[in-house]
Amino acid sequence: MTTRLDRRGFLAGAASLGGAAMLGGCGSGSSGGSSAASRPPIGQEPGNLSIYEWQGYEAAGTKAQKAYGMTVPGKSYVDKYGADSLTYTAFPSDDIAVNRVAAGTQFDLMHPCISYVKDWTNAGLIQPFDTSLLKNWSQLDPNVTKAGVVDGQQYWIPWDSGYSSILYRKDKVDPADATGWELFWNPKYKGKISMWDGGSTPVEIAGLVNGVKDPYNMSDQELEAAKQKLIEQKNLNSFYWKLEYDDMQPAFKSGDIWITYAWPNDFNDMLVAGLDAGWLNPSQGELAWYCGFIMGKDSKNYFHNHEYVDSFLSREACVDLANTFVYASANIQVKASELTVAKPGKRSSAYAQPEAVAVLNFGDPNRVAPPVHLEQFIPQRAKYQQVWDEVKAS
Amino acid sequence: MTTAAETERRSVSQTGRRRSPRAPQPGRAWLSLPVVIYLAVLLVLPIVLIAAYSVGLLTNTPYPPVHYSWDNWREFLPDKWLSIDTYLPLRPTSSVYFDRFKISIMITLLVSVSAVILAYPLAYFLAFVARRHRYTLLLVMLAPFFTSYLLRVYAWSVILPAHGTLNSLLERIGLVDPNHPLTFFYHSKFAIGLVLAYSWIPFVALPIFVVLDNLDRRLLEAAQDLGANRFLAFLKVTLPLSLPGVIAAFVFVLIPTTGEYITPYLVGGPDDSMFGNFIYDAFATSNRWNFGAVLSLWLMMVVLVLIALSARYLTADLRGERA
Repeated sequence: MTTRLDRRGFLAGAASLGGAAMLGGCGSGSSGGSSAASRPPIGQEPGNLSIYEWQGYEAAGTKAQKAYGMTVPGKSYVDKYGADSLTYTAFPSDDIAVNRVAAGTQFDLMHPCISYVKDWTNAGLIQPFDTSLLKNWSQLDPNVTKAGVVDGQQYWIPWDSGYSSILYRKDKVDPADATGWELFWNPKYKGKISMWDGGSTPVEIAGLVNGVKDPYNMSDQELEAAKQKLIEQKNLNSFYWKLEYDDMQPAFKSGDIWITYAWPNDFNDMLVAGLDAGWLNPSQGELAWYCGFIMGKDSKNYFHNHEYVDSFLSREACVDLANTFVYASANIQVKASELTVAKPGKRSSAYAQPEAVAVLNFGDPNRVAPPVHLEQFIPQRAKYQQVWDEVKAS
Repeated sequence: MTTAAETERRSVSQTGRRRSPRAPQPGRAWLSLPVVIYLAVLLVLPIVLIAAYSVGLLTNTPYPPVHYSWDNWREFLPDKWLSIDTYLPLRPTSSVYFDRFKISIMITLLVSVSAVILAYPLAYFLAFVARRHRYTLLLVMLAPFFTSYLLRVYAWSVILPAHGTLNSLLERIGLVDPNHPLTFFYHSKFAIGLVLAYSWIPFVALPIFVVLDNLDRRLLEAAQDLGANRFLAFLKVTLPLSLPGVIAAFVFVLIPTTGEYITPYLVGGPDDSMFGNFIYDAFATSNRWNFGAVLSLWLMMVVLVLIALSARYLTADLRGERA
């Protein structure tokens, strides 16, 4: 995912610029290495964590988090070490983040998404975690944690998750048309469609519609076909949406668009708004994403980093994440029944709506198994992005 | 050594009413040092860096590694431009980005011309009709500029949509069927043109107003004495004398809108990205700084040419002495 502007990004509008002072707190020092034994104990670490984090994911108990409302993730760390030692810098997008760190800015912890893990390891910017230091490790979905393994070492600890599919108006779209991603190409709904201006993602979707085997590793020929497919689709859109809360959701709410690329939290919001919204389960499979923690290669806070990350992984923390943002998580033990879900028919409530919770498949060990396409490292990402740029320019 | 007074006198005697800048004092060149440093660090150096990116001498990603190449320029410029140069092989397809550049320029020209045409009567009204209150009215006209440009553009996304203010109004007075609201004026090139023209009209009216306000009224009286009616006097006297202001106004819109980014971003449709949007994409989303550098340099060169062509009109001194 290139830029995932979500609830965090939206709420951040108000609270953003404050408190994001950057701290190059780690300096240079011990370089990567995975053994915990050769390191100074936690008491001798500086403990001033500098964290490159999506806005809205700050630890519970920090000033920044008060605006968003999560009360559990990060709390056990903050209770023990205080919130004053934590410095957050807003994580703008995966691409920008990896460039910035490659250019020399250092952080203890960062929060990239699954398809970028190898970009970080390839560039030699991160060091592996010692999973034996994470109390909640065994609760995480092994189908997902394996995406964080490079050369046998765990470089990335997954946390938040969701699916991507088509959100549509059930009262406007013929059920016979709501079958798969090809709904974006249905000329019947010209001017009522909005694809995400999302870099590689539309290219993956076009690949799926063209029937490619692996949407994350398309050949040059398949990419060319995807480009033609997207050019064909271009004028069916009312607009390509860029900002989840500033252009896509208002247009969907007002009825200007009926069919859009979206995430389950958008589905939830549209249900809350009282719309007859539906979440498409495409015949070609939904896309699934995970984001998670990585550790800067020169971080001097090895043990602090582990404790901090661990405080986000617990079952209670992941339930709170789901209640606040309607996101799923890597903690496979969280069941839908644990969430605070709105009673059927109570649309005005700000709680998670049962339909939106249902599509997140909490506790399902196969929640990212085929036909779902779990995001992956895209070896040719630059080409994907170039294809999308050319579609817009054509 | 010449004194300042002598220099001033000589320049006046040589050029009549025209004032030329005071000749520089020898030995005081160091006074320009801060400006030189400022320009070197914040203007020249970044341009050199961008140029280095555009030919692959710098790169923002580990892959591909740094290597000198004109490939990015070749990707952007149209084939026929390159075929003159035998060293550069022909590219099989035409450049979609260059075509986009032409579309952007067309939008920009259209906006600039319409803004000038619409602003002229406004300036005329202020200068000739609203004589006593003209400065008050000028302030009223410029009042929107106290709000952020972004907000003014954003406001249109409330007015223009199919379920926006404008359609609601048209539905209320029965001109539009609520089931089929008008959609052509949002997420379209029309919307971009409308919003850009709206944003620039007050700014464009300003230089025209300055010229008209300083127009020597006796010339108009003379024209009428010689038998011209008011329309003819306008056509033969007022309009030609106000041309420097008109051209300055035109260039004032043309240059900033050539690189316009936020308006197409907020009110344009899927096929309405302008050149500035592609520069943004190349740098911020698709991570192709080398290609983005080519687009930026190209835009910069075009704007520089525009400025060079119109330099003599881009001056604060618009009182018509040069016409």
